[in-house]
Amino acid sequence: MTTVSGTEPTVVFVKKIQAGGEACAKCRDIEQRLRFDGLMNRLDEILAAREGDPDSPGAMLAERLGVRRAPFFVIRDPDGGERVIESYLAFKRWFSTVGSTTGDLKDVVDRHPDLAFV
Amino acid sequence: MTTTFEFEPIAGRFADRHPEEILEWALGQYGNISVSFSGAEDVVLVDMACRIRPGVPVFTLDTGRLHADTYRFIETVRETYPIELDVLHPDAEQLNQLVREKGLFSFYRDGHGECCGIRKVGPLSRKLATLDAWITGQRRDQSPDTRAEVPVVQRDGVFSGPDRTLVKINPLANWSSADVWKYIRENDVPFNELHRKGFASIGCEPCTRAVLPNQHEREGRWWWESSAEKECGLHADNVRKAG
Repeated sequence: MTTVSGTEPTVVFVKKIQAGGEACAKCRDIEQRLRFDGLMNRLDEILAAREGDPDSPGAMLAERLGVRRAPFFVIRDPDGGERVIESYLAFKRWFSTVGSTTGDLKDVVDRHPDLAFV
Repeated sequence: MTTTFEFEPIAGRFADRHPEEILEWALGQYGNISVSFSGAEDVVLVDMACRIRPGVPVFTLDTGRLHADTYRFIETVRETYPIELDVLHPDAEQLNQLVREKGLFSFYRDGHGECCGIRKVGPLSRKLATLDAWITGQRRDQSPDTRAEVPVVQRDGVFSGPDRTLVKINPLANWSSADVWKYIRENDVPFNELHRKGFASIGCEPCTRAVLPNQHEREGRWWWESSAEKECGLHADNVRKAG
């Protein structure tokens, strides 16, 4: 996985790819929401869980974390901790937290680099 | 509560419209709205908006580190247009603490995130908490990676909360830099003198420099940070596509 600063959580998005090669309807819907909310480029990694391919990266991650349905998000903390988020609304809440301490403000800039151009 | 998806049809409806049409809709739709003005070429939004609604609220962030040219330009805009200009400042206590602990140029060592957080995001966050909608000069061509998906209307993904929707309107999303400058020339819009000196993207004085012909405007910002650090792990190149 690609990390840059090594001090920020990273986000993995896992989507199901059907036998025909297309993402499942739910995954397409969530991707559309991510694009609309400007969060698509906040994902550090997108993994495919291919139907019928337990060795695909997304399927292996789902198996390891005990997740049974895609799509889902994994938040990886710099200390190695992992948290699974299966609800898009919960993912948005995680992302939209805006604090008032200087650490929180820096965090907002790091997560939303376009704000530094305002 | 307004939901994200209520904006999709609107974004679709206005996707290819002229910025003036988008502004006319936005200013008619939202009473508690303000135009964000950075002191650069987004002045075109001010020019358009005050024709539609004279006295339109505009806000700008005075980080305390802007170029003298930018302060002069902000004043020119304030004197030229019938607008209600709100100049926002950083929280004094947070700023004092940063300068006391790390000095005036900590961004050259630690990156720009902490300084931008205090000088920009803090005051912006406090301002946006008072609004129902804001208008930005974001364009897709400013950063093909991080702004490639900018819609003309969206629920603000950063400053909305679970119980509150803030609407973000980006009338210039579809315009290129060339479109903006064509408008400036044709409508005799005043512009920041820094543009004459080779500055394409204008921010704080220590963090902005002129670019060479054909250099992307973003190359004039935070040039001492590697491109990867500049995008904080969110650069599209860092996204391993499913495949």
